[in-house]
Amino acid sequence: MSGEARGTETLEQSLARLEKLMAALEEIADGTGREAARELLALLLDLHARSLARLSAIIAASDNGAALLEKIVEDRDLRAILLLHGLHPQSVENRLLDVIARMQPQWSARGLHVSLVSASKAFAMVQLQRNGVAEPTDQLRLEIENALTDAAPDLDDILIEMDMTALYTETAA
Amino acid sequence: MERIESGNWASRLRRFVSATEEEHCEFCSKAIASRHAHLVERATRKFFCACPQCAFLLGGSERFAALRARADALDDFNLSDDDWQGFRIPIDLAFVFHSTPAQGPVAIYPGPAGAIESPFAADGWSRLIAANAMLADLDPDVEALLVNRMNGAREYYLVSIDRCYALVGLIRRHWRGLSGGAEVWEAVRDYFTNLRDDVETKDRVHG
Ligand SMILES: [Zn+2]
Ligand SMILES: [Zn+2]
Repeated sequence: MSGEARGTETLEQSLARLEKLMAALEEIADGTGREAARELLALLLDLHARSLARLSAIIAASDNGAALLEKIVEDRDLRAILLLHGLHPQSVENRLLDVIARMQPQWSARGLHVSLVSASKAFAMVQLQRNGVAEPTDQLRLEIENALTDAAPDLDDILIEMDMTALYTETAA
Repeated sequence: MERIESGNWASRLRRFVSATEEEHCEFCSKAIASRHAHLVERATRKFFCACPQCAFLLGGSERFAALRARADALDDFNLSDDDWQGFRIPIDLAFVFHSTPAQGPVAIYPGPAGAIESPFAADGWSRLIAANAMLADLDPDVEALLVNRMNGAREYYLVSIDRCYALVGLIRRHWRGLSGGAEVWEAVRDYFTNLRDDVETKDRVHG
């Protein structure tokens, strides 16, 4: 890909390509080459992580630093990179609570209630109460999962726990 | 807002670069990060590597307990020398924890064979908890009270059980002769230096 094309690529396109390249690299039979590429990538990420951590610390310690950081994470590209390096100023828990609060009116209007049960560095769990809503489970799950993973792509997984009424309506159906 | 299709891309990229030697969850076989959760089987005290889901679902069950890294120093611990002597532990270094299979407190202390395990007087343990409220929330099978009274020290810590086994292993490797030899006590000193460092530089980030 030419430098020019790279410059106009959106974040989504870059990440999709990143995904493909990682998969391609996993397929390489030559173990030495594969590990060298992986190490190179790890080293580059480390170099950036180190500098970005210091940069964040300098910003946070300066006047209006907190406000500035908030503004920085409003930028999608910057937010993505800070998330990648674990430098997002908000904790996973707060990011998830924010997105739930933002989506709740929309979900409530459909009779749904989502609440955060737990959040750790790798894994979060939310509870979905459907109050008898008949929408297909898979679709609901996907919708909620998508909203939450966008806010926390650094989590390994987000588990959605359905309430018992949901279970009941499904077995009854 | 436009959606990033790749979902948890940040987590996967991090795993990708750190996946030199791939480790797997011992319950569901899924690949796991090099830093991962561990479950302890209560009856056997065997450690198992676990993915976040299995750790969440199985941890705290009847059979398994989730191991959480813990190293807290107890600065205002109440234990008189007479009380300590009453526990009849022949050495000034011991771990005490609540064992579910033993249905009571158990003490582990170093000996020539590596470590000696003995039941800890239940009333002594109750007295300790009464005098030190923080002991009440010790997680059975996975967290222990560590007592170091060697050479006049009066240090007490709450630690995860992996640290007990680390000390047991270290003593087994370094013990020489009847009294252990200088080498083993040097290794124990290093262990406590590391422990104190971990207490001080503890990760205070959420999670
Ligand atoms: Zn698993
Ligand atoms: Zn492991």
